[in-house]
Amino acid sequence: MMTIDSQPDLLLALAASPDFKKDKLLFAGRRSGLYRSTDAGKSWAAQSIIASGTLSVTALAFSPNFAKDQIVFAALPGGMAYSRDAGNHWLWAQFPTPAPYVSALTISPSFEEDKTLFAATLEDGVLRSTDGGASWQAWNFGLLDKQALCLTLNGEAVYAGTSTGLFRSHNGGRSWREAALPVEDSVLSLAALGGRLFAGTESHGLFASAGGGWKQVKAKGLEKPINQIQAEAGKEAFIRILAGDALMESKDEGKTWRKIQLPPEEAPVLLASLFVGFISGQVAAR
Amino acid sequence: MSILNPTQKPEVKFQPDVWRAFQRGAHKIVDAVSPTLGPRPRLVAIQPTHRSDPPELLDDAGQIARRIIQLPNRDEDIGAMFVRQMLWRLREDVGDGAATAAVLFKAVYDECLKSIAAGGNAMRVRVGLEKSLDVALRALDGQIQPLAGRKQVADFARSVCADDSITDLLGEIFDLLGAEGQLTVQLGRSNMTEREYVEGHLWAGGLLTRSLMLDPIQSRSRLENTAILISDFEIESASQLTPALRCALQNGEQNLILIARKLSEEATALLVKINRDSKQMRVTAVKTPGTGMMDQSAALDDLCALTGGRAVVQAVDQNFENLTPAHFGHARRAWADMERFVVVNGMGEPRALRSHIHTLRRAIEKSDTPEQRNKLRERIGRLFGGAAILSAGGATETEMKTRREIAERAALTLRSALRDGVVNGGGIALLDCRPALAEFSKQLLDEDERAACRALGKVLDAPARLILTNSGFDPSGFLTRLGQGRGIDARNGQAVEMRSAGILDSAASVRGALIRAVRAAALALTVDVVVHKRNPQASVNP
Repeated sequence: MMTIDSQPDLLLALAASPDFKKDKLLFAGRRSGLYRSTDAGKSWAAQSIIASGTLSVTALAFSPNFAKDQIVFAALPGGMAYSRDAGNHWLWAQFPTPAPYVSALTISPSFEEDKTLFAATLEDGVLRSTDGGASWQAWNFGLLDKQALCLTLNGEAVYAGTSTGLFRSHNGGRSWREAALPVEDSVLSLAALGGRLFAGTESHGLFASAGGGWKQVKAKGLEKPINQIQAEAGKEAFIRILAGDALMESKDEGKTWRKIQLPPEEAPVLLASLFVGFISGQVAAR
Repeated sequence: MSILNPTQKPEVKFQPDVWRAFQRGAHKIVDAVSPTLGPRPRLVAIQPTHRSDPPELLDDAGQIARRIIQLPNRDEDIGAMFVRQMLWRLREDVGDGAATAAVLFKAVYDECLKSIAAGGNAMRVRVGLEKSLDVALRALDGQIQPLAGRKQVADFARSVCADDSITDLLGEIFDLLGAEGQLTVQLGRSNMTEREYVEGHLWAGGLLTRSLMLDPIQSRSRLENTAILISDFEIESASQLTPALRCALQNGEQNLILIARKLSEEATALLVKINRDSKQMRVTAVKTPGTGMMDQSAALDDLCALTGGRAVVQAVDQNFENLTPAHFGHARRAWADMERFVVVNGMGEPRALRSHIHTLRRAIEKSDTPEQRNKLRERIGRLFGGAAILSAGGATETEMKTRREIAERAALTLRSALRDGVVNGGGIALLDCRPALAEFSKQLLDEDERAACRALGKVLDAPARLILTNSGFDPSGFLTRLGQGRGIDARNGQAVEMRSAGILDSAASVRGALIRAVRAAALALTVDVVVHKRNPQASVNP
């Protein structure tokens, strides 16, 4: 277990660099602000994003080409901070007022060309930037529920999970249509793996897209709220989910699952690369 | 009063005069609209009401039919007005297909009339046509494919509207907003045709008075995290308003938008004073959206679903005395100028909003008139959020008006194509219904019914023929190459796969044209006697 600092504080966001094996870079967003570790979480330093005071950091994301462009985003109340030098210096982009709470960030895999990224907000639906985060606009045509909890990209489609269901955009997040799940429930988490979409719900467990429809993924432990899904493609592809207080892993696209032991008395809230973030602000590495 | 012959007397006409005159009258309308069919339409000039005005130049079959309000020969007039009504209704309903319907009507009517003239029974021919129509429709439905994606939508827009300045914009707008999206087409202010998008839910109307314009520099009032009091009240006095303001303050509201039909000077003065003196609350007032009781009631229902408020309405003797915090709707943002009122991110319950939209969809299924259906669709579009405004540009006002009309018509067709899908264009979808009819005719035992089925099969190539003729080609040279999804690109005479070439028609318009033309022809064939009244009025509305 690694402690960000001695002060107890809620952990709101956690992100590991796409080039983590080389740069060992981690960011953690807490109510007390942004923290950075350059040694794989062994030590952490508070980052100053705004000149005066601190603002809670609610979502974090790295550019897919981070190794080259060193761009990282941090969502704060009222706007988006972005750094072009791995977090040494930060720029600020204002959201339309009144300030929304950003619950998730997703960056286009072609960010280098299209400069597009999305922010899910709890009040204003999905905000979209097409200039690398410098300006933000709401594009919510058809998004009937503006309480967006999670976002993901699957091929050319953008998906937004909301408090009452799942929405899909086929035109880069400019308009939305309901992508009806078989149940009416809050969609808390989303991830895509190999063209398949996984949607974690509050009360009905995990769903996976299958042949134009949806199939409920059934396994012991998956009946709890699916708070986060982490999916990684490649030779050692895996899906990890936070189901209630349990961390579950599947290495066969969701067919079989095993529970991963976590430190007792700790409630996990976030997954990033090999790391698990706990509500208390602690971070553990696998 | 008749505009042409004020001395007409009542009269009863019998066969064979009825069929002949009916046919002549119907032909006149059909022939008037026929040049407009296809990608190279020719125009029909309509003499203006005032001699000083320029003639109206139209390529819209529905509009042309509507402009013909009476024929001088009253026997022919019956047939002409019968076809006119059918075409205009079709145009109102789906926006397109009137020329196809006209051509089909003429072909079916003429062909079946031959059977009747040769001794067939009109009623049995009618039954045969109606049975065959069902078969043709099933064959047509089997060809329907969805329209999706910006490119496909833009390609389709191009096939229904020859104006390039409009088609790309309409393609983008409908790709974004979908079939039910809210689109306003207005006259532009320059040569350029432009579009803008408005975030949120937009109603025409706007501020009740300039005195409540909170941001005079921007010429509008904009409030964040605002309460919305939804009513259709005519507020005559300040005292009438006081309980509402007290309730809002007690509820901790810092911003309030009052929706009302009218606000007296005294009530306005009270609100102006609050904005000037009070640091607790800012207030503005907008007109109850909609014209007429029904429209306003619908707008209030929609506002309630969006914002989570409860409407306070005059009709049930409500007043502001019994107001509770639950009556206030809320929105993240709302703004109004003197013309528009926009709610952005209403804070109503999303499930209630979905259920409200579902109710409106059910109402569409049950509604009888295109006007009703269009109003309901407009409401659904507004509830989905986001509106597009297309400003039709042009060098002169006439050019802008023409472009606006073209854009409105294309938009109507695009909506129906997005909603109901598309089929191969150029008359090929109809042609491809022929094998099903040929098969069906073998099953019919009655000779007249069989003759009707064959007649329908025979004339289904009429629209394809006319499209080629209108484009300057001799159809006889092409007919063997038509069918099974292949047709002729009438712009260049090349044989193409219609879908790959983007030559598509709205399924609703082809379906509508087929249904209306065949049913109208079947009905017209059974007209045996005509009774003329004394001095019938000219037909202005269908």
